[in-house]
Amino acid sequence: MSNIDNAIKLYDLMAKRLDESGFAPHQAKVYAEMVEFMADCPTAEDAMVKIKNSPYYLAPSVALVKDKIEAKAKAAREMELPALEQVYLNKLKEIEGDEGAIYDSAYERTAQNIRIKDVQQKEAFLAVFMAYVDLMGCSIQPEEVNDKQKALADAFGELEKLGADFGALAKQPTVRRLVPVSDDVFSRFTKEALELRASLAGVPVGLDEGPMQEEWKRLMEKKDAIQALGRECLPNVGFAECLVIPPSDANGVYTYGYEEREA
Amino acid sequence: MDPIIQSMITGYLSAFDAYEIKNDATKAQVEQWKQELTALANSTGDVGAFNTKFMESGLQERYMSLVTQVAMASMQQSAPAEQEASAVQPLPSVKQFLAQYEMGYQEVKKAGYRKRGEKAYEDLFAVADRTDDMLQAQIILEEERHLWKIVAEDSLDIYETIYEAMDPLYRMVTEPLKLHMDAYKESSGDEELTYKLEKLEDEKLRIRTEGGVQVQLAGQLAVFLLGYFKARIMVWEWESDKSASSGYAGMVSNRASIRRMLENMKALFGLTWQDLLKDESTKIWMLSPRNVDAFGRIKAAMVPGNFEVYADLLENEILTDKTMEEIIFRKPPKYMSFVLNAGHDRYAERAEKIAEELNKDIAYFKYMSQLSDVADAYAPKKQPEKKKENGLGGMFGQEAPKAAPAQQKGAESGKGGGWLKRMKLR
Repeated sequence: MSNIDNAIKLYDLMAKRLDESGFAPHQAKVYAEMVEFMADCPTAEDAMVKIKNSPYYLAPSVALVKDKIEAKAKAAREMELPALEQVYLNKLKEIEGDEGAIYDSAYERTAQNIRIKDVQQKEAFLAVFMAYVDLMGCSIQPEEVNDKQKALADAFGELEKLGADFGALAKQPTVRRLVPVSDDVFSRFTKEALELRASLAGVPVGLDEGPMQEEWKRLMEKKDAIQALGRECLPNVGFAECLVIPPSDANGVYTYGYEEREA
Repeated sequence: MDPIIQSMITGYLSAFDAYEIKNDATKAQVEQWKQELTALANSTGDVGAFNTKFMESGLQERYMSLVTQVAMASMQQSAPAEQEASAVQPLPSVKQFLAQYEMGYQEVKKAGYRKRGEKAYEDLFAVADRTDDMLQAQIILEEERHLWKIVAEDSLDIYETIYEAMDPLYRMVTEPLKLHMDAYKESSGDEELTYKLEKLEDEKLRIRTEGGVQVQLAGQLAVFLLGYFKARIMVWEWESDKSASSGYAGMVSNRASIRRMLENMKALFGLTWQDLLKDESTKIWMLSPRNVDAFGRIKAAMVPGNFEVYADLLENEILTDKTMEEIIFRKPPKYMSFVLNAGHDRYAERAEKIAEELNKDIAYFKYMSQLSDVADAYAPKKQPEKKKENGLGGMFGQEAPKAAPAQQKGAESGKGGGWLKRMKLR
């Protein structure tokens, strides 16, 4: 094969691979055009000179950047982030007008800031969810319930500091997908979290001491029997630790070993 | 800078040294990227945190884009550059062309564990043995994707090494990393990889939330159960009327809290306590585990016999209609084991040594031991373990639930008797 045939074969291979990837249409087009552009050159060296003196010298770099930006725009669109998608579309338009724009990466910082804000808001929303779960599963002791309510209020506060609205975020499908509960429970969470932020009405707090005092009086009379039972049972209470060794893959089970006990 | 992180970034930084970057704008972008990477590497001594930030900050994606840009420009410019000097200048030989990758190869080889990357480079260099013709070589490079493999395979080296050093059942950490690796394995090029990694971010957040819920539920239930049993000990000991009444109140309080928690757990997540104990990756969090190596692959924890105690307490006491008097007089078939008291710190040291031995053949830890002489000088000082009040230790050493106000005094003040005192000493 002559070297021009090899040059054409090379660019043809690249064009086909990039086209098949589905993610590099600009590069695929450029390389396919370059195959045509080189077709009349007698040697590969002539082809390289011809390319160097044509727009095709920089075209692959421009196409690469455009494909990369389009991949990010596609991801942003599918993640339902219109502001982020717009940054990428704007950059593509800028490059269409001036290819030198591929060297200006300021848009990456803008995109990154949008992405960071989106992640922060989602994380803050999830922090409200976890604070709600915490409050729903906490001790009934008043101090603990109050602490957990404060933590929930703080979580809302952090979300609001980011300029986010809890209700608006809750309506976004991309946020909904992050919360591992059914739709009914999600609705319950979004309603109750707001209510609990303001008031603990409906949350069981503390104990009814009346029945407890009655029961305690009866137990006091059985002190000796309880202490005797304690002398029998307490030696069975242990102090021990062990090592937990993982399986080789996620389908296995833990192995517990190297146990140490204190008498 | 942490020596492991230093080694990792040296590989990335030196990848650009293999090329002559002629374009000023590209050069500026590469320099900017290098500065940002170095700043990130200096900002943390934790390899796991560095890797996460490296991915999340976009630095990784920009690396892929820049190195591909630079490599492609180099391929295109090598022949025209020769032509500029003279119309009859020959193209560089294949060996000369591939020699620009030698420095990158040496950095990868120096690391010792980047075997996929080493092979990718060696396969690349072997092209010089298959043809002397530059265009033929470039066809082989294109057909067999050698330049893409250098980047993808080396990235997989780093991620797989870390993955192997983790606990595969710690899903909230390993699953996001596995998805990340899958994106590298399944992508045919940088553009596709970019798209996949962008879309993964929300999925990773979902997995971490799901895992966080698991840990939260299991851990909270264990705190209550241990508190309940500890309160029972206070009653059995009956050091004083005050401490015994605090114990009684603690049992009542923990029982009510457990019932409330389980009711809400069922309503919110459709889960029962049996579900928690049935799931291998969840129930470990009921034993107050703590990491004894870099990634928590091996953990120290309470003994697994406690699972049966938890089940017995829930099934035969807490969730029944039995009165507290009936419960107090019940002899349980099995008894709780709390964390070591006097021996806890010594066990922690022993545990680390055992973990070191068990991990010694795992690539990440093998690599760490090669660096031990250097790493010792930079290793962070161990922080003293925070003393926990309820004998739990580990990650869930919360304050035991306090007694109701009428019985509060003396409840958790360490004025209990022998057994309680033993749990307080640590």
